[in-house]
Amino acid sequence: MIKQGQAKYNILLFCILSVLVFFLFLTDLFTGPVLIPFREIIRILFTGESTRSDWITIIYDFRMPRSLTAILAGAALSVSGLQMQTLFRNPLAGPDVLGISAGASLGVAILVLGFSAFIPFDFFSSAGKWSVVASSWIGSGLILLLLLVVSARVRDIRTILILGIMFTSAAYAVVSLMQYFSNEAMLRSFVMWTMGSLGNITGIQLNILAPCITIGLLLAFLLSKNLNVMLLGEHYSKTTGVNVTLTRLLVFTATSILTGSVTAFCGPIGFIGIAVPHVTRAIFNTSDHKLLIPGSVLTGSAILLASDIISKFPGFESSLPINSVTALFGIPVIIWVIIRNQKISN
Amino acid sequence: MDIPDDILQIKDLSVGYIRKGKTHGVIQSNINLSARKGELVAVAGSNGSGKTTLLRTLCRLLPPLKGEIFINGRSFTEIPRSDFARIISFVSTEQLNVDRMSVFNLVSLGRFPYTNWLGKLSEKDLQIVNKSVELTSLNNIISENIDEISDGERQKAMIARALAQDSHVIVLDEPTAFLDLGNKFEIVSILLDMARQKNKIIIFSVHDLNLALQVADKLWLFSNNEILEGAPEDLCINNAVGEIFNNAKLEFDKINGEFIMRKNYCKNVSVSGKGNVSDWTKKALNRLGFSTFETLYSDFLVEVTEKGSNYLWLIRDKENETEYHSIYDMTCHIKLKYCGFNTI
Repeated sequence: MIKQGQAKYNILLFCILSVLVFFLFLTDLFTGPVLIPFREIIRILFTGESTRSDWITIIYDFRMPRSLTAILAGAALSVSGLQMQTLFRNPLAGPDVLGISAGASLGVAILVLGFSAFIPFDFFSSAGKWSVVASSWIGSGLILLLLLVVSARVRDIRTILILGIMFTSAAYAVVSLMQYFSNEAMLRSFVMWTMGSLGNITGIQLNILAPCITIGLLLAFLLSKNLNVMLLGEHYSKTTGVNVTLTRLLVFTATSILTGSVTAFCGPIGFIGIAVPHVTRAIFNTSDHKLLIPGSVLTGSAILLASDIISKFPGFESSLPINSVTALFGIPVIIWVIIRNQKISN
Repeated sequence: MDIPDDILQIKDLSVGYIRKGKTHGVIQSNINLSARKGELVAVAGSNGSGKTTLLRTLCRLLPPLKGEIFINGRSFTEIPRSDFARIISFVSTEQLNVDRMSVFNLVSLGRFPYTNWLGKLSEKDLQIVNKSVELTSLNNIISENIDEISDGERQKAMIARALAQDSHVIVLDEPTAFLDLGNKFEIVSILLDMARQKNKIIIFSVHDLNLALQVADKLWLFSNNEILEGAPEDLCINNAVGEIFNNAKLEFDKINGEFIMRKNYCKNVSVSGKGNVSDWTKKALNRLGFSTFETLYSDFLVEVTEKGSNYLWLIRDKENETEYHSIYDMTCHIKLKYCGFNTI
């Protein structure tokens, strides 16, 4: 009886969240320096026609890729964070605890700060963008390889966590060394990258990002049964029949695909990955990953869309760095989590 | 192999830890133990004698250093990992700290080896989960989150989870640690029910030997150089239980089957009076270090008399007589007068 009522309640929650995401998506399309009437946006979306052709260009070539990126990145980072919190059994773990974002930063730093002397000045043209994406992917991929090698040998999950933190510190140490020796222009373009941006993505890049994230999310969902048991820790997982080593490898792979891809295209986006899983758990009041993964997808999309809307709020000349907006949302959530944990342990 | 079907058999097993491929610390070797279906087996022994190591080896959390374990006539080495969860389930001492997991969700995790890739519970799974919840009397808190219930309830939920796993053997490492006396006995009686009703082998380690002696069908008793097995009474008769903790502070009362603190009695008291109250008075005097055995010489006398619905304690020695209305008042006086505690 209780279970049936709960199931209905969950379906209702999913409906509300879906409607919210759709509404925020439309609002995100609506906000921007050029005012396009809301009715026209709907018309462009559903018929592809409009009274002014430049509005179609703005919507399809600029705002739509940006909003879709917000949805994809929000979903990907939230699910990554959820997986990491479960695997490390640590409420403050996030997508970047494994050092994946740091690896990506190192890759980009080597490209931007190390080799920029050899590449043409129009760095943020499409070819330049692709090289940023590629170097970021290579950086995070190398960290993933390192992690997989370590996690196949090291049994204690806390050791892996500490190694992840060490990888992160080492990567950032090299990055700051490179920053020290680079000139102002290079430094500026690198710092811009680290602030994160949803707006640098074109339609072609979206064609790469979307399948990557879909694969990562599917993999995460397939692992939800195992993740549920992993919440109880290694001993219980093993004696319940979970292949712990394999599960860890697959979770790390899913996280790297998700976080690595988002970081490659948008730069390191902070706080979403730590905060959203807690919000989702609070909304659904469950620890079941069958609900939490799709729930995090919707909540994460909604929150990153909302952050994007705020970042390009009317009155600002250009949009604010997305990281500063996500921090303003994420930090209160993280403080709430810390205080709540304090209460539980008391 | 001449090993019966319904038995867990440990043969020539060595347990310990492996470091860098070498056998590093062998904690116990040449272990030979067995248990039958429907039995509640208590594993007892001093700290560091290898109880936890043996239990973890039984659950395949640690590899055996030598020897073999048989269940249902099969050697452990023949059982693939995926089937093993249906053979043995485990409850550890670890205190769980999981956010927003309901008792129902926790117990249904026990169905992991039986459900499909999504972990969806079938009708049968649901039935088993509900039965496990019933047997551990958690019905009222089934939808509460496990971080909001008491330690005793959480331990019961962990046991219900192991029960839902429907394995032949359930291994529990110190299931009664951190619990008060009432909860301890409740947990142990649940374990006994599980062994009897579900015909399972339940193996649990316990520090409280008095508890083990009262309920277990069989005792696996760890001392530092050997492991003995048998009915608790067998091991009491041959003094094995007594020797485990036999030291300057503790002695085993063979008549009552319990451990008591060793006292050096310095003075003799004779107690007169009938029944319950005089027994308790003797206990109090023993606690203070006075012998109450019948001897020719007594330092003083205590007389217990009933006065209406109250009792009176009368202390009499060569010089004088005093009256007290409670054992506490009496002991305060005795401590002052006969023990000289005030001079310390």
